[in-house]
Amino acid sequence: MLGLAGIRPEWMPLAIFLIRVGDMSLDTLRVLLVMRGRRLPAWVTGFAQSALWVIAVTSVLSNLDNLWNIVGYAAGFATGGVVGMVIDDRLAIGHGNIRIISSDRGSAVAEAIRAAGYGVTELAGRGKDGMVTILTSSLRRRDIDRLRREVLQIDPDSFVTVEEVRPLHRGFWRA
Amino acid sequence: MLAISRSVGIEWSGLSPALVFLLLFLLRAGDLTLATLRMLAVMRGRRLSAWLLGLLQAGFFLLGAAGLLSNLQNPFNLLAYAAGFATGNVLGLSLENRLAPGHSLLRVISQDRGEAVLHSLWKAGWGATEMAGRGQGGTVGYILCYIPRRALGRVERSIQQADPQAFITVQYVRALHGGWKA
Repeated sequence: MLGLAGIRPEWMPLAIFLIRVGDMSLDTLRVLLVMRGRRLPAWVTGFAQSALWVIAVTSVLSNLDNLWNIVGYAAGFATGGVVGMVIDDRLAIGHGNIRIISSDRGSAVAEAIRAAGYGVTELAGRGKDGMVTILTSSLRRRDIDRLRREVLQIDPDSFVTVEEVRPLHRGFWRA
Repeated sequence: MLAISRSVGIEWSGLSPALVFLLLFLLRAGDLTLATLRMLAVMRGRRLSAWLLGLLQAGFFLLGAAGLLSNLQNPFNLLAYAAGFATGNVLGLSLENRLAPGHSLLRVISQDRGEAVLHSLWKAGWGATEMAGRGQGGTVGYILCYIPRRALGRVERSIQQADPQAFITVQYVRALHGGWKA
C-alpha cells in the first residue's frame, strides 16, 4: 500500500509535516496559477497536490492517537501555504502594472524608466495641490521591484501603486 | 460529554445524533470560513495571516473529517458536512468584506460634475487625481482615488451624492507607497 504505513511512529509527525508542506505549497501555487489563467501548470500542480494530500490525510486520520501527528499536519498545512507564496514571489509569473503619481519630477522619472528599457505612458493630471504627472507602465512581475526602487530613488515623494494584470495585447514590452 | 479523548479528537460515541450533526456542521463551517479567509490572504500576499489561519483551519478540518468518518452510519451527517462547507464559504467571504483589509483604486468617470466629485473627495480627506478624458458626449472628468477598502461604501456614497450619474469602478491594488493621506 502506498502511504506511510511502514514508517516508525516517532517519525510519523515529521513525515506528515513534510508531505503537507509539499502539498500545500503546490496547492497555493495552483490557486495563484488559476487566478492568472495558466491552465497547464494549474493542472499539473493540482494533480501532484491531491496525490500528496491523500497520503497525508489518510496517515493522520488513521493515527489520531498521537497528538503530534495532528500538530505536524496543521503546521505543515500552514507552512506549506506560506512556502507556496514565497515560491510564487520568486517565480513572479505574469505581468503587472505600476502607476506612479509624481507632483514635480514626472518627466525625470519617465526618462529613467525609458532608460531602463521599459515603456511608460505619461498623462497630465490635477491633484489637490496642483498639476501632477501620472505615469503608467506595464511590465513583467519580476521586474516590478527593480523599477519601483529606481522610481523612488528619483522621486521619493511619488505615489506608487502596483496591480497585477492579465496578459494583454501589444504595447511596448521589454524583451 | 464533549471530552477531548486520549486518542485526540472528540469522543463522538457518547453524543446524541443531533449533537453530532450540529458539531459536524459547525466544524466544517469553521474550517471553510478560515479556508476562505486564508485564500484571500494568500492573494494579497499576507504571509503571517495565511500561516495562522492555515494552522487553525487544519485543526478544524481534522476534527471534522475524523468525526464524519466515524459517524457515517447516519446519512444526515454527510449533509451536515456538506452544508457546513457551503455555509463556511459564504461566511468567509462576508467576514472578509467586513474586515476589508488592503486598498482599492476607485476610477470615477463623470460627465460634467467631475469638479464637484473631486472637491467632495478632497474635502472628505482622500487624495484624488483628475485627468481630462473624452467620451461619447464630450469631455469627461476622469478621477483616480486610492482608499482603504474599509472606506469604500462611505466614499461611494459621497461620490454618488456629488454626481448621481458618475460611472464608478473599483479595483483591488496590491502594493502602495507614499501618497497623500489625511
